[in-house]
Amino acid sequence: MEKIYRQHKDRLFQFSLYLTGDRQLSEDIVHDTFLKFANQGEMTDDIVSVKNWLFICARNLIYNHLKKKSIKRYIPVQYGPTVTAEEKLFIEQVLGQLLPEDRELILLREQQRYSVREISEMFELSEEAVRVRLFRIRKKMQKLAKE
Amino acid sequence: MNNCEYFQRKMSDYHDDGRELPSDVLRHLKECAECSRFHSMLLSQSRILNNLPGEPRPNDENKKRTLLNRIWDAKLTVRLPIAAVFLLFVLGLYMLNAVGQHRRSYPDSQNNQNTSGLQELQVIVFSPQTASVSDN
Repeated sequence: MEKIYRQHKDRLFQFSLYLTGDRQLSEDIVHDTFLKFANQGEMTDDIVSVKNWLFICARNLIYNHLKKKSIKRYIPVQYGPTVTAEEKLFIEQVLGQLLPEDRELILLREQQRYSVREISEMFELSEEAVRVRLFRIRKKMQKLAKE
Repeated sequence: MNNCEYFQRKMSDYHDDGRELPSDVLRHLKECAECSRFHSMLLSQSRILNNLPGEPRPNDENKKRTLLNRIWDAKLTVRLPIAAVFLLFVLGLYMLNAVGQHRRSYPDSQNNQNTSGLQELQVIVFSPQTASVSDN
C-alpha cells in the first residue's frame, strides 16, 4: 500500500491541481482516493491497472465536487516560484479556459503521458474517438493562445 | 475536411503516437504557414504541459504519515467487525459442540444415578431387614 501511495501520490496531486486549480481540494482528492483504494480491501487484487483505477477514482471525486459547487471552469492555481512566465500565461489563458472534460483529457495525454489506447480504455471510448477529441482540444487551445 | 485540417489531424495523431512526421506532412509544412503555426503550437504546448511543476505540498511527510495512519485505521474499521463476528461464530460453534457432548455423555448416567439413589433410599427405608432390626 505504501509503495502504491509513494508511486502515484504526486502524479495524482498534480493532475488534481491542474484540473481543479485548488491546492487544498487536490490534497483532499488524493487523500480520499487512497482511502477508497484501501477500503477496497482484498478486492484490490482484482484491479488490472492500479494507476487507471486511482485516476478514474480521483476524476470522479473531482467531478462530484465540481457538480456540487456548480463549477464549470477552474480556479487559477497559486503559482510557486518555479513556474515560468510562459507557463503562467499558458495556464491562465489556455488551460484555465478549457472545459474540465477537455482539460482532463489533454492533461492525461500530455502531462501524465497516458497513451491514446490507455485513455480509450479508461473512458471506454474507441481510440479514434479519443484522437478526434484530442485534435479538437488542440484546435481550441490554438485559438485560445491567439486571443 | 480541407487539406490543412487533414494535415493538422495527421500531425496530432503522429504526435500522440510519438512517431516522426511522414514526408507528405513535412512537405506540406514547408509550404503552409498555418499548418506550420499549428505544428509549433503543438510542440510548445506539449512541452509546457509535460514540464508543469507538481507543486509540492506543505508538510508532505506529516501528511503522508497521517494519511497512511488513516488508511490503516480505515482498514481496521472494515476488518475488526468482520473478525469479531467470525470470533463470535467460532465461539458459538464451540459452545454448541460442548453442550452437545455434555448432553450425549451425561443424561443417562444422571438418570441412572437418580434411579439408583431412589432405589437405595427405598432399600434403606423400606427394607424388611432394616425394619426387623429396628423392631428388635
